Amino acid sequence: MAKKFEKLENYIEEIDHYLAVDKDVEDILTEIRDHILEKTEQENGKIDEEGIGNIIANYGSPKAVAEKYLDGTHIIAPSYRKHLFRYTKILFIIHFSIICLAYVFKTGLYMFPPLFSIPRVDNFFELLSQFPMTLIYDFGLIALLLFLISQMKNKINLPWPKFFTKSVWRKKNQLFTPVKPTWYGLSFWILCLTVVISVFVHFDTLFFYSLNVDNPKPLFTPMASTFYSLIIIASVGIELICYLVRFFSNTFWVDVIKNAIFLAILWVIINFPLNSIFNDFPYFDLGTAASWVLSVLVIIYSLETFSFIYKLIRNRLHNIKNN
Amino acid sequence: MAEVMGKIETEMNRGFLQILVLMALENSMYGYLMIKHFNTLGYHVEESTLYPLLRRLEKNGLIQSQWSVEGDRPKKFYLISKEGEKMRTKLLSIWHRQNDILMKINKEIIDG
Repeated sequence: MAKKFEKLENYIEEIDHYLAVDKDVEDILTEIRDHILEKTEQENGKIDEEGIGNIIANYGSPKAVAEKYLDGTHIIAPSYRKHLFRYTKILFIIHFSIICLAYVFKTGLYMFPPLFSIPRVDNFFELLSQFPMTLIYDFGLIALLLFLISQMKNKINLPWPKFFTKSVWRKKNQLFTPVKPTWYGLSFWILCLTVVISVFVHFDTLFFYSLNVDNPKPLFTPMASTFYSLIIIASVGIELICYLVRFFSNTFWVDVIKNAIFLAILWVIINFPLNSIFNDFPYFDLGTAASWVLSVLVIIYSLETFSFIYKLIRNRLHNIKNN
Repeated sequence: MAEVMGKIETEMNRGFLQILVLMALENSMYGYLMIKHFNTLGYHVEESTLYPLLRRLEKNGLIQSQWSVEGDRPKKFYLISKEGEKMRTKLLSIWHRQNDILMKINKEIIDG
């Protein structure tokens, strides 16, 4: 029986780890082994560990050697790379939104077992921990699907969702372009809405002036608490919807309409008698402070709206001039 | 530039090596012997390139193989098949035609 050399056997074993071929694995490895032994003997006059080590060093890394036998096969077809990330993003947004709903309603959800078994999430930190776990899970699910499709002999045309694409939300030849929406931004607003709804459901208000969770001190009278909390929830909801709309059509009109809604909300708030809504606050007069804050907000939103309208007009004029 | 040259040279060698192997395997040879033979002709080929190529040619039916034990070591001998001979003839014809075109273009460049 031929003598076994440790360096050679280790090298062959490593090649075997990377050799992703369906058949003839032993033939390939035997051929490589025989070649290295013969070359060592021819170039060094004898076969020893040192000689074998030199030949192996020039043969190539085990991974590189094994890759040359792959014949163009891939785990996932390279042309599916964009599909992998796009499908993962879409699935993640849907999946994480469902988890947020489960958190708000304090329940587990079992929508498509065993794919989406969502456990009950009791606190905010658990919810945050679901973020990376959900992303990893969804990425793995899509990768598995694309792996199976890549192994199929029949060619399949995968659907390509045309919404959520950069070509929709970024128009060419514009002087001013709106802020590009991102998946992280969308996740942020979903999280914000989840938090405000949860706090409201738990405490019946969003406004405290004490951080003591066991004895929260509401800022407003009960009726005002509910009223203004719902306004905040609605505002965050409007932000979320507008942000989502940006993925389909990212224009300054979205900002103009959003700001118009916020200005209308501010008008409603300002017309509500401010002095009668606050509880006793020991530090300063809340009614006066609220008036100032609301006035500043009106100015900010108004200026912002004018700036968006200005950019819309300039873009329009620019397009007319170039066409 | 050296990197680009390396890539282009690799692409050129890919086709050339296939014809070279089909011609060399008119006589039965194993891998190491083939590499030594090419070296004497002035052409260096990496073993990690040759063996996968031999496997692909065999898979496509252009060459056939047989294991033989020499001394205490098994060796895989290759020989061109009937299909391989037909393919070799076609590839040589293509190579000659490409060579003629290159010579003509080269002459045009020299003649200005």
